[in-house]
Amino acid sequence: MVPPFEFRRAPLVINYLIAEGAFCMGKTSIKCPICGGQINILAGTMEAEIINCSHCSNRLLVAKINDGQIILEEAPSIEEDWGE
Amino acid sequence: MNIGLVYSIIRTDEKLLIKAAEKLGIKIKLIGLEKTVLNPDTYQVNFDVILIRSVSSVKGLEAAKFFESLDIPVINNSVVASICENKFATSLILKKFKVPTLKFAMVFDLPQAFEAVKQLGGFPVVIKPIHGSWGRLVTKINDKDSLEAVLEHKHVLGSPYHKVYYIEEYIEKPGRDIRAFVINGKAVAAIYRNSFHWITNTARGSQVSNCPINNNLADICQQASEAVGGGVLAMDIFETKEGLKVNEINHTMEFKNSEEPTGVSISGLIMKYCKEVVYV
Repeated sequence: MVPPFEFRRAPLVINYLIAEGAFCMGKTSIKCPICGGQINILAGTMEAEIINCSHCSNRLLVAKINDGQIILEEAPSIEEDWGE
Repeated sequence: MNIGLVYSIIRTDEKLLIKAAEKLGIKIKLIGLEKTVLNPDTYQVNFDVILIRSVSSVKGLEAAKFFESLDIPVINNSVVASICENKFATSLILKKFKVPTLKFAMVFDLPQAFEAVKQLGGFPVVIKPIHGSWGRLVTKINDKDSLEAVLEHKHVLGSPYHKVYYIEEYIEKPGRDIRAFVINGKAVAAIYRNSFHWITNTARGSQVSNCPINNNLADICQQASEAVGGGVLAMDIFETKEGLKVNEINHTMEFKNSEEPTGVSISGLIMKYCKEVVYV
């Protein structure tokens, strides 16, 4: 089954000054908290975004971006009230 | 001009909205519901309008009520959200305002379900949860045995919301349905969702192509928008032998797969609408 929405990273580079929120300012690499594989994080990735690990395919939540440090967590499951 | 963008997770759609705001010189204040305390005594307002983009409809609705209580314009407001998040409420409003829609009934037990199926013209019918999205748990019921089985499962395993049985006539679609994007009553873009499966949600893998907006489509979109209270809406519309019929209306639309085939910056138009709401 196709996932309910795409978890691909959007090819968008957003000017971080326009929005008050935490963005990844440049491409970086971080370990997957589930499988330990090295994941590339693109510039423009935002806090609260969900990404896929390219190694284990698990869904990961970008839980925190702070001073260049990125914390990934296992993403929440899709809830009954999620949608449009 | 500041827009408070309320979110629970950031999808491509939210990033497109932020990008569109950047182009229009609008400042976005991101309001993550997981990190926010909605206390009217302490909340500091530093935006002119709220755009609800919560992927959780329950959290989004409560947030809408909160910001309305602070006299901030909210898109979509809690009345629109309350109608659109509930498929039965949406059907009732469409019926009341004589917007062409599918035949439907609500029942609470099996004998009444059989009677409802009879009233809707017989099998097949479709049973849907009143809440939910992306085609989840939307079930085509072909015969008596399936109806008994599905209702028993819902009765035994479901939450109270699954013990109200919303039944809809089954429409034989021409391999597609229409998703129309409607802002302030105007259909600004539309796509065909083409699928060999009877469920045509893009979340379920349907192929997207541009749908030209003719007068019939524009009219039914305007009628449906007025019925539910306007705002920023995505409508699922079926082409039937009797003409176009509105099936469902979504109040937190996803549009990321639709900007490219339609050539319309839906994100840009949403942002412009937010601006208009503040300055009108």
